[in-house]
Amino acid sequence: MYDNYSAVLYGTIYKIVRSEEMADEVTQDCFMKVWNKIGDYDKRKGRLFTWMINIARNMAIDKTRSKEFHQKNKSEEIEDHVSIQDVDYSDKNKPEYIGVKDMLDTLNREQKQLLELMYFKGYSQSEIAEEFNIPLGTVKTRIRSAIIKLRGLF
Amino acid sequence: MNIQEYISSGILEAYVLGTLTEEENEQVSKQIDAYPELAKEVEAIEQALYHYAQAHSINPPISLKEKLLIKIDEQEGKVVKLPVQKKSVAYYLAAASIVVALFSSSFAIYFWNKWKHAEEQILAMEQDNATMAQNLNLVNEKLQVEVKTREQYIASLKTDLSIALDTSTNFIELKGLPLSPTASAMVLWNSNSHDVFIDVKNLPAPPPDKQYQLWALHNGQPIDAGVFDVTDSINLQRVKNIEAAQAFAVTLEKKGGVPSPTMDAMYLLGKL
Repeated sequence: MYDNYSAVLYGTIYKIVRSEEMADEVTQDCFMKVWNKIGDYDKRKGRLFTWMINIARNMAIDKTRSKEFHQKNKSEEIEDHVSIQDVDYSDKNKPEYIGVKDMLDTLNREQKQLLELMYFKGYSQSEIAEEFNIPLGTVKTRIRSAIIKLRGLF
Repeated sequence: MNIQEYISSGILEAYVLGTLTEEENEQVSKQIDAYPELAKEVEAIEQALYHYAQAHSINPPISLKEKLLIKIDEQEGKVVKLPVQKKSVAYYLAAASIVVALFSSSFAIYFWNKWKHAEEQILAMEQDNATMAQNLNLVNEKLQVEVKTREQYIASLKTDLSIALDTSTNFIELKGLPLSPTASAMVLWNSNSHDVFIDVKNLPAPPPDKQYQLWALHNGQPIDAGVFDVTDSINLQRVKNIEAAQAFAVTLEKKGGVPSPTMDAMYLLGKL
């Protein structure tokens, strides 16, 4: 299980916490949690992967909201903002996903932003609506169309 | 419920992303159980987001796996030791009976397979036996035919010998005439029983529509002594009985023989 899922979980966690040290820690905690809670997983409610990645995302997002994160980040804020957006994934990626980043570029700016907000920042639909001052219905429709576009890509 | 409307409301996406409240989650779960179309849609959304996450894959440092394994070992070490002491006799009995059941069923399967295999082997052997018996019968029949042929041959040789040893038997050597100078024949004529036999050598094989005919000459008159075939083996062929003769001759005639000989087709001639 570790070999199958560690890269995607680690990648997602890293994208959220933006530090190797913290990604290490959260990934470990995440696998421990998965290991201990595997009995809670209900096949009828979706794939194992969805269950695991949601645990990982929640733990990572919780981390970004913690005190520790904010203290640490303050000092690194300047360099982070330069580097994060352009982390070179292609070196570390699995070969079959090289080029996938390019595929994601076919999403428009707004769709990319929406997905990132929801997936990596943990925004709910209503939080996005408030933050950007768009009607909730519109947010829902846009997210849906972004995911539909994703479905078409693979 | 309008399924299309439900799908396009975007609630399924929020469900997969895990941004719904516990209560909402339960409701969506129920709907998915009830409508296969919804399950299909959720599956597609999961697939899309799976690829989205894969697109961000990064291999973690190798050390992470080791750290994790150590952590799990530590934890399992703690957790496992406690329940060990609590295991009752019933627990061990249950465990033992499961082991016994597993063993006995695997033995059953093993022996069943063996038995099945043995049955197949027996069937194959039975078939082999039948084939062998058949072959043996064929050989037997062939042997019997052979034995019969040989017995007949020996019997005919005995007859020939007894004829040759009979004191009343006359041996008349027939010599080749210009039509077949190398040919010869021996005619055995018993003056007592009047039996006549002939054995020819080097006589050319007759055309299919013709046969050789033996004549006895008595007082200058040819008497039909019957037709005979040219064979490879040394075998006396019995022809018609002759009461009296001074000479024998062989002519080539049409198949079945003729009443009087064709003089210019005479191949062999011999006098007593």
